[in-house]
Amino acid sequence: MRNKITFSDLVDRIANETGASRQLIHNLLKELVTVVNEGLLSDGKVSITGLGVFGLKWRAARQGINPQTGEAIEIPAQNRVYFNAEAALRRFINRKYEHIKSEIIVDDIKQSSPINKPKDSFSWIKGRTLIWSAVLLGLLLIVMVRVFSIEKQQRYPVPQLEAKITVSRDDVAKTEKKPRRYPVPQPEVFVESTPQVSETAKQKPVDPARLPDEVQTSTAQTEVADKTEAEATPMESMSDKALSVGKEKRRPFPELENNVAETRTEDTEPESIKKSSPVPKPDFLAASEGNSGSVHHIRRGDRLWTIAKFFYTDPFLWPNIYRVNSEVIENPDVLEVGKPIYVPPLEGRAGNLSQNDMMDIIEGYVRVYLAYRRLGNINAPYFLWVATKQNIPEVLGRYKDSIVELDRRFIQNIRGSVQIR
Amino acid sequence: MTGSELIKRLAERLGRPQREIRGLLKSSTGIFKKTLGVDFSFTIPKLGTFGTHMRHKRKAYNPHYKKFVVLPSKRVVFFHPSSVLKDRIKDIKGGNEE
Repeated sequence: MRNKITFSDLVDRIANETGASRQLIHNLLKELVTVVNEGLLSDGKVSITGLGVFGLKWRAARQGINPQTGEAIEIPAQNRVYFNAEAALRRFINRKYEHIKSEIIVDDIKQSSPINKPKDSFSWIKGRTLIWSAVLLGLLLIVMVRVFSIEKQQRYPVPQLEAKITVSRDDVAKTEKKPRRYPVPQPEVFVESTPQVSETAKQKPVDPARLPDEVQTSTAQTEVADKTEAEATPMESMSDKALSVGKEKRRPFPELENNVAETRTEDTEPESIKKSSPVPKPDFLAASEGNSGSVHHIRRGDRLWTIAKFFYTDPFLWPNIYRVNSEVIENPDVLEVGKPIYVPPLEGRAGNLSQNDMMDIIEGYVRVYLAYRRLGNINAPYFLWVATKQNIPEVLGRYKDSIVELDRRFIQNIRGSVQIR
Repeated sequence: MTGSELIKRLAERLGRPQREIRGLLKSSTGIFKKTLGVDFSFTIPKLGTFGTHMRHKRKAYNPHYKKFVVLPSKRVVFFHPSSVLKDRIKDIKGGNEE
């Protein structure tokens, strides 16, 4: 009760507020007291609006202690005055603390009874289990990531070709610029090419006697036709080497009297292809019997691609030509000028091929794949993929044994590929 | 005794119209409220002392829910009756029994 106002001061304030005289207010408050007394005595309750309620409460008799002597005193039963402030007054007085709400204490270890929760020195660690578990999980994750990242690198091995012939671009450049020490004898005679035969025209038989002997000399120094457009390999200088290798094995033209297929040597073909079913042989004599294929003598600048484009109007069908001439042509990229090749006929046209045509062409692609595989061309698997894409399993079944497992897997990884059964 | 009856009696004793007494009483209670609002206490002689107490923040226990609660601090109004008043009502046996 630090701050007090005297009664007279209070009266003055009320008088100032209302405008009435001090005497009146003084009397008012005095009378108020007596009226309250009367009310308490008669009714036991007096309520003043804006202030509160005065009331009486009966207290029963109780024992007390004399504080000085310490003796017990009996306090008799009696009335007691109480005052309950009005709600508005209470709220007004407590207006600063009205918004504060009571909080429930959740984990106050001190408050709990010592019997239920004995004092525990490791409680501070238990409260931090979350932190420990998070740290362990983090470590675990890091370890797992490292482990699985290592495995990933070793998952896909790079396929290695068996007979890999590497030629660097520098070597190619060197060979081209190298000056020749001896004069190059120019080929004197080109073999006359037969006129381009239409499908309906009959086939002339190739008379070996008619072929001039100069053809043989020209083979000694053949001019290499450019590679086909389909392949873009850095193997241009390979042609020299390939020709030099096959020179001893090359058959001279007088053998064309007999069927070329019958003189097929066993050295050229690998064993895997021998097992497969017989390839349609380039039967030049059979062509004369009304077969509407044609024989084409290779000219300078010819490629299988351009030949196919002329005969079939679709250059992508060139493997069909290679199929029948696979004994004659060692490398599809390398064509010898003057050599005759047999261009087989198609049952349908380029945009409208029959089933037999498709089978022939697919077989051609497979044979091209095998040839490239033998030579070490890195684009070989794509030819196999083309063959599989058409999804004619009978053709592929014939060559199943010769298809390498590595290529099979390589193809299956390409989008849109078909299973090789 | 209700407030209107109080005013009637006051008007009777003072010889003033009731509406005047009503107004005066209202403004006087207003003054009381204001003084209490700024934590000033005042005494009306032979009645008692009106004032405010501060109940500070404290921990309490709810035995039903068996939980401890922090009760916020608050300010309350008190009335200490004067000894005259206490003596006067002491011996009345017709009062409210507990």
